[in-house]
Amino acid sequence: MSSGRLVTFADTTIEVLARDQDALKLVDFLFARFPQTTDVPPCLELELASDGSSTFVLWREGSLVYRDTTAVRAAQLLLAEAAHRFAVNSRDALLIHAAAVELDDRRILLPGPSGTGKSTLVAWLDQYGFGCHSDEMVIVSHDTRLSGYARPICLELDARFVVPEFLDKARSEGRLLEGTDALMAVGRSPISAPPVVLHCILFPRFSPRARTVLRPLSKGAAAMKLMISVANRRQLGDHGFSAVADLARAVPAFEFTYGRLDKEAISHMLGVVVP
Amino acid sequence: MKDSDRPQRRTGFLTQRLDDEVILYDPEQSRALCLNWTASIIWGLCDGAATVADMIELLREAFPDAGDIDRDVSEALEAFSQHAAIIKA
Repeated sequence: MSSGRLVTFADTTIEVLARDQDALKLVDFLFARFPQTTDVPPCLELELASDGSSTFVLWREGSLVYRDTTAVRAAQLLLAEAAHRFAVNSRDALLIHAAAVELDDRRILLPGPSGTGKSTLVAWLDQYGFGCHSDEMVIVSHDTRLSGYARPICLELDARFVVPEFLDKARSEGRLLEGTDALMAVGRSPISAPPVVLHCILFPRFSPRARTVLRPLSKGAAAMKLMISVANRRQLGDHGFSAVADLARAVPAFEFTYGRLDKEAISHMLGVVVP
Repeated sequence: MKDSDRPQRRTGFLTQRLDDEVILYDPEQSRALCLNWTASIIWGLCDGAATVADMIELLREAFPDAGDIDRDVSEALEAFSQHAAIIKA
């Protein structure tokens, strides 16, 4: 007998089932921050089971797709399967490779391709009270409302040297999943229920030894940079380009260059949020 | 590009004006180009009829106090060419 949860994002719902307590614990860890709705029937069924020896088995639509995977690997596979389905089905709003955080009801979009340090930045910001809507992917509708792909913050092992306090706290509070090559942590700071309106766009740019600089971007430059991060631009067709231009017109954008996550960096971030 | 060439905008590009800038987007290549105000005017002149020399003359008449118009036109056309945004008519 399986239990599980419905997971909704970008007007698409999937069902993630768990065959046992270990699997259910992992599913809850991964998808607890996603809205659950019964309005949209699920278009995909994923099912997870523990084999009783710390490894997991994953089925898609009843067919075995992965076995003998560790908890972290199973988590990564589940999240990837879900993200892929959400992206394929996303045809109306902008699906952007971006993190999104909020502080005091002000929401900041942090666009950038995978592997550019968004997750580490979000984990660091969590320590200062910034709630995490997503560390990877967001939907932005035509009225600049944002919904985040609210998975746990997914970090590489190097993060242990950059955000040790965040990881220690997450570990002590049972919000951390640790593997041999990756870490996942649920953020501590609260977020508003999505969708929420954007306050500004910050394009993070890590450059070793660089001084922290916050530079306003023209609307044209912001549109150019956003266009690179739109994941579903082909599905959206011409509408996607005009939607990006509308977003750049409506929301102020900055380039945030940093070499260290320190007091100077957080003071720049707070300067954006607190007028 | 030579003074006698007649650059023409390639079809298929999408454009959006944002304040003083224009974004050109090529949906086939998923590539975008941001034009400043000067470059956006030069883009508008690339109709396949005007030569490069015509463009320079027209801009000199319209903006007599402007700086190095020859260079502006040359750099803009070079950027358009690099993004395959124009062809020689």
